[in-house]
Amino acid sequence: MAILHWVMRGRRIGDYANVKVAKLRFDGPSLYAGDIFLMNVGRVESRETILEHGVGAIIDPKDPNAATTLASIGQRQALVHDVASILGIRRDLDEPEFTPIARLDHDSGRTGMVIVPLANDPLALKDAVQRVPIIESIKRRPLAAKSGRRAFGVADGDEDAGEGGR
Amino acid sequence: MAWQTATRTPGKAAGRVKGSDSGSGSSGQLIAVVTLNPDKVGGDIPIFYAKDKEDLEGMALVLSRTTRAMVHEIAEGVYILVKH
Repeated sequence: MAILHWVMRGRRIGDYANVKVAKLRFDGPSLYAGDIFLMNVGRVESRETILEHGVGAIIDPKDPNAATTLASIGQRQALVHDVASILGIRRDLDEPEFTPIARLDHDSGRTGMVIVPLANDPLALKDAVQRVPIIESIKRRPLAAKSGRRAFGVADGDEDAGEGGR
Repeated sequence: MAWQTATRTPGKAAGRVKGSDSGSGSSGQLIAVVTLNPDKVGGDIPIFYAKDKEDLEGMALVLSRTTRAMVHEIAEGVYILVKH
């Protein structure tokens, strides 16, 4: 039964990518999770609140299939929604700067995210992100196509290179 | 009947910028500008001139809370309020 349950379980972000807690920092008004730019925060007090109470994460796809899937806007919106529903958000209606956000780094394919949660625990954030389900209709497998393998520099005959995309 | 007819006032074109920080494709609207430097800004939007940094922060806070807009710093001493 346990094996059946495991096989039938839908894929999660933890299956597609390596998730790690990222240090939040500001370069002027620009907020970064690690080296990934997230957003511009104007007010100094808001920046201090984000640094004190916010937590960040970086989602690093394991292969091109995973990178293409996780680049989807809908998947990133689902990520933010699911994490926020578990950890809560420390904001009110008139505080849009504390809205959780996930941004894509186009050069590396990684996604950075920030949330100012009610429950401030970086490891809880990491766990919550890893457990976010992959939306079935968003799954992509570019390595299964010849042109996809060519685009991502994978040799023909190496279709199984994308383990994360299964 | 005349009283059943309601005409919608079209939204102002000025100050509407295309932005998609959430990725949903929604546009943002420039609500106001708060600045220490009168020379750097101009146009057909509300502009508030602050006398010092503290005044700048204070005005930006009140404006952002009352309009539910987000404050962005686009240049030293220039804050814009954008409703996303």
